[in-house]
Parts: sequence; C-alpha cells; structure tokens
Amino acid sequence: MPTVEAVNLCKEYPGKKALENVNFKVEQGEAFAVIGPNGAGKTTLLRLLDLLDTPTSGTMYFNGVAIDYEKNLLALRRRIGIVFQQTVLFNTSVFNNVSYGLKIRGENKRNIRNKVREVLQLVRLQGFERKNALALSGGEAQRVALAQALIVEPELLLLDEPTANLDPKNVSIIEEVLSWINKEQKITLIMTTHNMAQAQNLADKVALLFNGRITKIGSAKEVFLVQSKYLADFARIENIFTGISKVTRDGISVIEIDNEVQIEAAFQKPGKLTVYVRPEDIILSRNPIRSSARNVFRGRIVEMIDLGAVMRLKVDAGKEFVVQVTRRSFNEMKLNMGSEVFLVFKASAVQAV
Amino acid sequence: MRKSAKTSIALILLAATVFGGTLSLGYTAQPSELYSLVVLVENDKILLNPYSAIPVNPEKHPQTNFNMTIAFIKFLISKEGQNLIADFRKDGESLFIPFSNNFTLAESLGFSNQKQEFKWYNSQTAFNVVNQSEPFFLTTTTSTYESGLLDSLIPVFEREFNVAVYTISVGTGQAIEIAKRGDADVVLVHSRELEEAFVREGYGTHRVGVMYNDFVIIGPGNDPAEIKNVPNATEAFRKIGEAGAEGKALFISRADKSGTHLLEMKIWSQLSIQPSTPQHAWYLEAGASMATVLRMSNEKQAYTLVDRGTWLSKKKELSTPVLEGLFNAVKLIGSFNPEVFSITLLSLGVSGIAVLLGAVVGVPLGTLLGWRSFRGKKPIVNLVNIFSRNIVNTFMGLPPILVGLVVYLTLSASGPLGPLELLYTPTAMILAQLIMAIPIIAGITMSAVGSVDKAIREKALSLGATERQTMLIVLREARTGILTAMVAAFGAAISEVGGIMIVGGNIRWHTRVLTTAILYETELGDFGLAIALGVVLLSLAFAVNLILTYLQLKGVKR
Repeated sequence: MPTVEAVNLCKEYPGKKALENVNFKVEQGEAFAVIGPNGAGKTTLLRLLDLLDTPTSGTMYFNGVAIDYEKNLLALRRRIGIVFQQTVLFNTSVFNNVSYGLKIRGENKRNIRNKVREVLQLVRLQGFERKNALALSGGEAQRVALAQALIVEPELLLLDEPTANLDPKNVSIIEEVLSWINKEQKITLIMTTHNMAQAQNLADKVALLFNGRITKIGSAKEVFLVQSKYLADFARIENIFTGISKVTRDGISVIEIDNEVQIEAAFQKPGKLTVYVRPEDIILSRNPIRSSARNVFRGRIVEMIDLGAVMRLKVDAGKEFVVQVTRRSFNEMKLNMGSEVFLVFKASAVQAV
Repeated sequence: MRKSAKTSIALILLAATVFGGTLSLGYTAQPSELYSLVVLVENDKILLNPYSAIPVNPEKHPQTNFNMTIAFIKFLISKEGQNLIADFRKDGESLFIPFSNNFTLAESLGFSNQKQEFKWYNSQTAFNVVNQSEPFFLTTTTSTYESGLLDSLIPVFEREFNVAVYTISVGTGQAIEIAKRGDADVVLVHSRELEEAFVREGYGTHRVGVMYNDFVIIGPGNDPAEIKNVPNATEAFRKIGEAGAEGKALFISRADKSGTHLLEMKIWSQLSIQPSTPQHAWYLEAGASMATVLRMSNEKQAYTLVDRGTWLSKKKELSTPVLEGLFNAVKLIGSFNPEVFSITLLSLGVSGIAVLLGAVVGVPLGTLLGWRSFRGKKPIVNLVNIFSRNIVNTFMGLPPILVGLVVYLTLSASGPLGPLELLYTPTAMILAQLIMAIPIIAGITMSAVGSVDKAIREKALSLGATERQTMLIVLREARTGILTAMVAAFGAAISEVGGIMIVGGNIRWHTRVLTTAILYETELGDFGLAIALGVVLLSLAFAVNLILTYLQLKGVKR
C-alpha cells in the first residue's frame, strides 16, 4: 500500500491553476523528489500533502485511506512532518524549538530532554540547546527546523527545497541526515528541489512538475534523459547546458553550446546532449591560470548571493555560470559586481544527464 | 505612538522650564521696563466680597452628609472658627475678616437672617452622632483655596471630628454646578446672585455669611489708564476701557464664572460695556484661576480685579525667579518630601492598576482581532473585522478629557452610577485611565499579533499543534509587542491630566497625582513643587523605557 497517493489532484487560486490533475504514488520508505522551476506548483503540492491547504478537486490517500477534509485532521497531521523552504523558528531557545512538537503531544520532560539531545546530535548541533534560535546562521537554523520535524518521528517527511541557499557544508550535513533517515529509519520522504545532483543522490523516484502538471515520473536517470530540453529551461538548475556534442580524436567530447561557448567533457557521447557542472567544481580566479583543466572561460560577475561563509556568484561568460567561493577568498580577491574573472573546470567535472 | 506619549510630556516640561527661564532672564536684564503690580483702587462698597457657606439640600440629594455639613458650618461660625479666620495672616496682613457678631454688616451684604442662622447653628448638637467614616466633600472657590486659609481651618476641623475633608477648588460657578449634581456636601463660595439662585432652586438650604474681604483693582505701577485717584471702581473700569481702546492698557478677566468674574461682569454691565468681543484687543479672557491671572497680569503689565486675600498671599511670589524654583525642586526631592512621595505613589498606583486591568481586557481583545486577520474569508466576517479594528484604532486616540467627562457624568451623584459614590476617588481615576488604556493595549496587541508571520502559525500546525496551542505560540511570538502595548498605555496613563483632573478632582492627599499636581502647582506659582514633580515624572518615564529596552534586548539574545 502506498504511503501517499494523489489522484487527479487540482488546486486553483483565484485566476490561477496551481495544480492540474496531479497523480502519483509514493511507497512506504521511498524517497520521492519533485523537481521543477519556480512557480511550477511545488510548494502548493507540499502544502496539500501537509494538509495545510485543501485541494479544489481530486483525492489524496494516506496509507490507503482517502483524506476527509470535513474531519479534524490533527491526528493525521501529527504523523506528517514538514521542513519549509523558508526557515521559520520560534523566538526562543533551540531546546524549546526542537521540543515543541513533543511538548504539545504531552510527552514527559525526561523523554523530551533525551530525544532533543539525540536529534540535535543527528543534525550535528549538540550543545546548541540553550542558544536563541533566531541568533543562528541560516544553515544551523535549517538544521534546527529539520530536528523539529524529526523529533516527533513522522511516518512521512515533507521537505520544500531543504538546502536552497545554503553553503556546501550545511547542504552535505542535511543530505546525510536525509539519506540516513530514509535508508535506515525507513521514513518516507517527499522533497522538492531544483538541484539535480541532490535528486539523483537522494531520490528513488523523480517527478518533473511544469505549470502545475507532472510531465514525467521515473528514476532520476530516466527523467533527466527524456526531459532534458525542459530541464535546460530551469532558471534555478545551475550550470546546465544543452548543445551538440562531437567526440574528438583525443577521446573527449566537445559540446557546442550557443553564444560560442564550448565545453569539453571527459566522456564520449556524440549528438544532442545536456550536461551540467556542479558549482563547487568550478574554480574562480582573477587572472588566467595555467593548469591541466580543459575548460577556461572569461566573464563578469552579474549577481552575488551571500550565504554566510560562502558567496554564490553568477558569472556571465557567454552563458551564465553559478560558482561558489568562500567569503575569505571573495574578500581576498577583492571581488565585486562587474569584476572580470576566469572560470576553470576540468573536463571530468562535466556530467551528462 | 509607543514612546512619544510619555516622552512628549517630559520634553514639553523641559522646554517650558528652559523657555520660562530665558523669559525671566530677559526681563531681569531690563528692570526699568517692568513695573510691579500695585493696588490702584480699593474701599468701594461694590468691591466688598462676602463668603457664604451653603449646605446641599438633603431632600434633593439624600446621599449628602448633612449632619457633617451642619457640624462644619457650626465650626466655621463658632468662636474658634471665626478666630482662626481672623488670625490667618500672610506676611503680617489678615486676608479675611470674619463676620463674628457684626449682623448689621452681614445684613447690608445680603444675609438678612444672619442672626437667626447663628442662633440655630449654636443650638445644634448633632455633631456627636455624625457618621465619621464617610469622606466629606467641600467645594470652594480657587481664591479661598489659593489663599491658604483652608490649610489652617480644615486640619483643626478634621482633628476635632475625626473626618477626612475632601476639598475641590474651582470657580464659584463650577463649585455650585458640582453641588447641584450632588457631588458635594457643602459649598463655600462668594457670588450672591448664584448663591441665591442655588437656594431658590432648592439645591442649597440656606446661606450663612462666614467672612468677607474685599476686591481691589491692581495694575502696573506706571498706571497707563490713570485710575489711581478715581472715586470708585466703576469709574476706574470706564477709564481702563478707554485707555484699552487707545491701545495703552490691558485688562485680564478670570472669565471662569468665578465670584471674581461675576463681580467684574456686574461692573461692566453698570457701564453698559460688553467687553467680551473679538474687537476688544485690550480685554483678555484667561479662563484661569486667580493666581494664574495675577501672574499673567504681571507678565503682560495688565489691570485686573482681584480679591484682597489672594492678592496679599500671592504678590510676593510674582517676583520669584524660576531659578529659585529649580533650587526648591532639588531640595524637595533631596529631602524626600512626603507630599511628593504620596503623589508619586498614587500616580504609580492608579496608572499601574489601570494598565494591568487594561491588559486583562485589551490583550485578549487585541489577540482576537489580530488573530482574525489570519482567517476571515467570508465577506461578512471581514466586514465585522474591519469595523471592529477601526473602532479600536479610533479609540486609541481617545482624548483623555472626553473620557474624563463621560466618566464624570456617569459617576456623578445624579448620573447612572451615582449611588456607587465613586466620583473623586482613586477608583474613578483608575476607571478613566482604564478606558484609555484598553484601546491602546488592544490596538498594539492587535497589530503585534497580526504581524506575527503566518509561517509561525503554519509551523505550529505542521508540528501538530491544536488551534488553541497555535494561538498560544502566536501570542508568545508577539510578546514583545504586547509588552510594548502595556508600556505605551502606562506612558499615556501616567502623563494624562485632563481625565483624572475631572474625575479625581485633584484633592490633596487623596486624588492628587503627578500631572494634576504639576498643573495645579504651576497655576499657584509654586514652581519648585511643579518642577520636582516634573522631574519625578520624567524619571518614571525613563525607568519604564529602560525596563522595556532591557526586556526587548533579552528577548532577542537569550
């Protein structure tokens, strides 16, 4: 029996159809990723799954039972956890934040203390109990939010872009936790993401959501291969490019992207192809550097996002690339909007989808 | 809104002090231009000023303490009382002359039954059975009160009869109005026409002459209207009017329906002059107490009519420099003056209780209204919502004086809640401030709760909270805002003056608080006490803000 099943789920807001005939099944213990551009309806879908909103039409089944919105949904909601994209914490200590779910369920104090300690250990925030939650960094706060949802041991955990705008260290901690609770605790996960690598790593099944419709469901590989031309349109999928690939005599592929951008890749795949490069695999420098890396581009910084210890930069080099540098390097290199920079990455960092 | 209410009064006080100081310094630099006020016309029969005591008719207002009234009047006209009046002196000069046994003079001043009244009172022995637990309300004129006479009469009476006398001092007209409503037991006033009407209409039982003094016309020493040697007061007024029309002189009128004002009007009407028109730039209507009018006359070098008692008691203070007031203020605070202490305590008590009670009503009300902003999809709910929010927002700016008026009319003996006898008690003051505090607390709570992120509510729901638990967490998140609401309400309450003045009556030792005392002491020219109280008020506002800031910081960092 699937943990969650959606049948012809529709959600309309005045003047806008947010979801149209959405159908999917998520089996018990499965990790399910919904991938799609901004405004595709990902958040709406998660809100329906968390019973915060009611669908305009269609039915949702939880463990095979159709949800009756006329009834009190409290008991059902208590079996589902959610981590929102925007971290929301109560203005009080980390302990009070994390223990909240247990407290309102009337758990006794000793159990609460023990469970808080365990779950904080899991998200690697041991000893943070007495800090004020609002004084934490973005990544720490998101980990507290994850701990808040996990402490009540939900059957189903919903995650709305859980690692968006976090630095790599926090991303990897959260991904590890998610992987562990899914593989070891067998908690069913449904997550939305724009990060293909994350979907590929964590999810058993991936659904592509466009304009409120699911266009494809399957394994990560299946979905990305068939739907690559849509994926290229994702503004928030980083460094994904589609072009014509030619295999050279050296045994590498040269992919011709438009705007005279050429990317060399270490595999041999001819024909139309979509490739991506993870932002953390790109080296940024002020001057052209001599190295073994095959791909070197010159560009200008057009956008900067502050993630605390790390800066995420958008560089226009004919195509837009997203790169990450530590704040320290960022300061040392005296980077700024419009600074001219060089992007360097190895052919082996280029991956085909 | 939140901080301005309490800081503004403090700023105004500070500004007034600095400004006042500058003004007086400016004057003392050019002493030749400022003439001291002097008595220019006196000893005219029309200027004689008899004071009568009138019991409020117990048939009209049964709740009055008639026995105590008889005891009080008997005391006033007894040998002891009359001697106290005769012995009351200021700077060696007596301010009031008791009628004693001068029945001829009393009769010529309109007390036709004075002899019988004295006889009747002397035969009364009801004092032994008076109910001593009830407070006893005397309304009197500002001129009596400001002279200081009551300070030597009333304590003696209170001691002898073990009773608390609550004195409300206003203009004669107002004093009689208060008595007509049944909010006083006895009046001690000086306006024959008003008194006779009061008795004729059945509100007062009878008039008893207690004492008299006389009025004098004062003006600047250089006497620009040349009234120094005119034969009578009427002629003097005529000349002031003429000089005024030529722009050479000014006249300041009490314009407060006091006995002084009524006598002044009588003299103008004998001349067929109607001075109160916008065209008469020389005629200034102050609407203030005698002491204030004296100070205004001094500042503006104007003529005015004044009873000799107030004149003798106040003329020295006219030249008290502001710096001396500051010095006195420091002394008063430094010596832990019991009156300053009692006034401060009452202020804190009244405003504190009003705000706590206001929170009991205002916080749930504001929460409910703020909470609704999360919901309310149905148009009718929305409409009710918008309407009630608007009411709260409108009432946040409720003028205190209006609240005071409404509470006064409600609690007044002839008002709907008169039988509770709450008027002129701290309870009435708490009630008035409560009415002001509720909308402030509800309004700020409303916006604090409304501005808690919707995400907080959803977060709680998603973690499995019930509706009630969700409301509690939202309230918790809004706690700084709610605290701010209470501090703002406290600031507004403790700095409020109009409302508590009306319902409290500014009765010394009983309902006098910081603001009413500042107002009153300023009118009396007792700047030392006024400044001392101002400093206390400012310090309280500062302390409250300090606590708030501390709690806010603690709320974020903890």
